[in-house]
Amino acid sequence: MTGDARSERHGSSIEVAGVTKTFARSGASLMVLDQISLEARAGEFVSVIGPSGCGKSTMFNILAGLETPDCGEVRMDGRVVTGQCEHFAYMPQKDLLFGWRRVIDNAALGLELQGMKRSDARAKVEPLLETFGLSDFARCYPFELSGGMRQRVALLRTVVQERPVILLDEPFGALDYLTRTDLQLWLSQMWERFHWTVVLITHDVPEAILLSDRIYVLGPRPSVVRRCVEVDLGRPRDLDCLGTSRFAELEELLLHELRGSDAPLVRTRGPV
Amino acid sequence: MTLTGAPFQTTAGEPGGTFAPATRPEGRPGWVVRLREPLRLGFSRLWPALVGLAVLIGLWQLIVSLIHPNPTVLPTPARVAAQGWTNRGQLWSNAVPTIEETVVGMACALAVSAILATAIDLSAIARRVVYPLLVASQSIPTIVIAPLFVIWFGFGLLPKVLVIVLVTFFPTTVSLLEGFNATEEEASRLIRSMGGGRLAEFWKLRVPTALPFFFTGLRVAVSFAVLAAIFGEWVGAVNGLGIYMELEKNALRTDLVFAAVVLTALISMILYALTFVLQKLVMPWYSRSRRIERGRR
Repeated sequence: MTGDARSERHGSSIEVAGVTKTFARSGASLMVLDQISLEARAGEFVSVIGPSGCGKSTMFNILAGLETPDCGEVRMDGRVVTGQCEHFAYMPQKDLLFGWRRVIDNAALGLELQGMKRSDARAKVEPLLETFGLSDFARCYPFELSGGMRQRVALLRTVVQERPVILLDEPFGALDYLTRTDLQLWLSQMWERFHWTVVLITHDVPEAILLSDRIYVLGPRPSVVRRCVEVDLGRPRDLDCLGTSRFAELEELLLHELRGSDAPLVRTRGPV
Repeated sequence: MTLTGAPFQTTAGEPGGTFAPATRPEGRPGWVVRLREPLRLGFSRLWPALVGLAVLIGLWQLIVSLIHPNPTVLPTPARVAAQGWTNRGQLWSNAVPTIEETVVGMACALAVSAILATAIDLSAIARRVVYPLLVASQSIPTIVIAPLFVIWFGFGLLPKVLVIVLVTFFPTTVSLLEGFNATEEEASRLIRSMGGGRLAEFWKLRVPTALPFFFTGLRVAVSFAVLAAIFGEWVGAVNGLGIYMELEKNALRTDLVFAAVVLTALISMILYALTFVLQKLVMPWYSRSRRIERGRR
């Protein structure tokens, strides 16, 4: 990765340090996260992958400030922000577009909730519609859009809030293969352009490789960070990147790490 | 595929198809365009009902002309129509107060149910205090309470409005509550993560989610409302279709009672149809989205 691109990166660094979370379910306590530590530097795209039920979503909620950890903390640019949601823009798996709002107003929802007047919020969203391939659909209702377009509106709604860190929770999980691949390439391109700090949670290994600078692999419950893999593929990445031998190597490595209970546990990599 | 082109190309071969943005015919305001379609649909769906009605009326006419009952017992439809037309001025002057009561009563019932449903939705205490009373209120026999309203409040508008409110606020309140509860938890979380408080969540999410439910409740309520107005007049009024029917019944003018019944049914149907018009105006996205979702399935 060339150093030049780094200079124009936006956003803040984010760090999860020793986060542990236990839930009490019908008397028994269930440890979901065990001393999880990971980090994303400013303008870095980081993914977290893990088997289903490994506590990815819990970690995500802790990051987003929707749940509080039992111990450990979330730090942004070195400052403790555990339990504060105002630093993160969060995009869930379901697009959750509001059927009664037009595309432009759905995209402007976050701004309106921050207290911006509707006309101002629209004015701020308007120039981004073209970048997101939505300019012809600004006045449409969500039901008039395809799944891929809905997801792009959801992403626009997320990024237009201009919060320091963007959290994506399996954003393309509900889409068909072709649309998903299209959107992954598109997101990669968008990220090249804007250099947001992104934390992506997914169980789609190729998606993680294609998009990320670094990938954290979580083990089954109670989750620990099994491994941290630097994705040393050049950028920009495109469809050809999927066919390279390095991509295949990384994919195999990650799949092994995800599946193999026989594979030795790699010690948690502490924050750099 | 190259990704270096600066302006991003839209939806390269995106499956699923997209819909062209809706265009509006020149020179027509939005609400006219929005109403044209339901009106057209309404007419095309109405004619089978009209045929059915004609068959029923034909049968009625046939039976009466075969067994020749006393017209004070069962008049022919033709006689009902003719006498109704002759007395149209009287019928209309009695219909106006009934319509007025229904509309005012419904408006009050909606205000009451909006306040109750909002309070119950926002506060757990209100839910525990008000909800049981709400259900209990529905076991008050209207037939007993309506004459009391007349004793307490006289022969004017107020006792009728109270009967209507008592009968109709329940379906609208319950449908609003159901609607609020249909809000997706994930959507609430999204609003909170964006910095929205409870008020923002209520107005921007819970209220729009509840609207389709509300209109279902409103349709139930409207058909009850006309009936409640008639009943309120029946127990005591200066004028109105309810008291008119009672007076004509006592005068053995069964034909005019029937004419008033027909007029009542017409008022009911028109009010019912108006709920669809209102729905179309308030939720322009709704019926079209429903149709498209049905089409995809």
